[in-house]
Amino acid sequence: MLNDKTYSDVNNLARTLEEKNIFLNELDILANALFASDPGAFDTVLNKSVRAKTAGFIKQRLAEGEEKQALVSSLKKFVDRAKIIKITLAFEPREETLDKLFSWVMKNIGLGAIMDVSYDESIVGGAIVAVDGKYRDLSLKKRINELFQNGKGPNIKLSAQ
Amino acid sequence: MEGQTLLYASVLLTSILGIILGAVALSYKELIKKYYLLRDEHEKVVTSEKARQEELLKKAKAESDLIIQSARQKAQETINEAGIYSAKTKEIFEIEVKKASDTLINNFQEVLESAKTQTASAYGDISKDVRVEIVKQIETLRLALQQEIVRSQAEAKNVIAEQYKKIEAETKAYKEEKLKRVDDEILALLKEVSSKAIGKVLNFQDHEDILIEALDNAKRQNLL
Repeated sequence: MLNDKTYSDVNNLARTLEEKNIFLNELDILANALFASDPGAFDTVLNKSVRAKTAGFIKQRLAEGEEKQALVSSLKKFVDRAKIIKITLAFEPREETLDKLFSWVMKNIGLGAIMDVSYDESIVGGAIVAVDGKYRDLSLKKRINELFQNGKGPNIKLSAQ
Repeated sequence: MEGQTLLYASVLLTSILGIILGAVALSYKELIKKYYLLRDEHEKVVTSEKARQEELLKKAKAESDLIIQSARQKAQETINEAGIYSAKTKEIFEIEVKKASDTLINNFQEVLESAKTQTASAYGDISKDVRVEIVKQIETLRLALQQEIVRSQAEAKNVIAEQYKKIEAETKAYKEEKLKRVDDEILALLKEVSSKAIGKVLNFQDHEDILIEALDNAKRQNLL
């Protein structure tokens, strides 16, 4: 049975939609290796065909007594059920940005959330977020438009003269 | 655009007025022509009637002369045939016959003169009536022309005033629309410039701070 710490670690391996797909692919390879004729196939795959952080996490779980097939299966179920949070940024995020963003998501949304991150310079700053069917435009572009529409922007009205 | 439309409207109205004046002038010319024709015809009728009257008078005179001559002749014959009257009686009878014939001639002359006077008076009246009628028609035409000119002037004035108002309203609407478009374009440009300027001055750290702040605000407002 996986605990919250384990889920948090798993979530760190699949922070984004891209990472989720890589992680699921790794789990598929490991699951296939379980049924291979070669008894050492699983270890071989774990050491050579998956990312180091994935391999490290799996090895740690196995060292704590987890059964290989049950572990792979429960990890896959957890990742498949994860909620997708679509986030559009005004810049291409670097690794630190993804970390900050993921920390915020873990803290405020909770476990089992995976970010689908994209970027669009036209939104100027902030983000556009879509989660659970809700769409929130938190961009600077929207705030600038609101300023102009509410007449708080520069007052240049030739037609009123 | 305003001046051109006014010019076109003025040219159009002047052309319409010119056509109306031309039509009136033609009508006037036709009326004058008709007047001359009537006058010629009247003169012809008067001349012809005078000739006829002269002829009638001559004929009447000849007939009366013939009647008198015949009466004298018959009287003479009667006297001669009778032979019973005295010279004195004959003289008295001749005097009486002459008196009677003179009276007859005078009466006849009076009747003829009266007829002549009546005819001349009748034709004189006709001439006068025609003249009065033509003068009346010319006056009516003059008044109608004057009224038409006044009416056309007023109409032209109204049309020009209406056109001017319409052009003024159109110009105002056009100006407002143009200015509104310029306003919109300026605002769009300002928004674009502001967005680009803000986007350029933000560094990575600023972007991340704004991002986290926006997410925090949304969370506080239960938007997420």
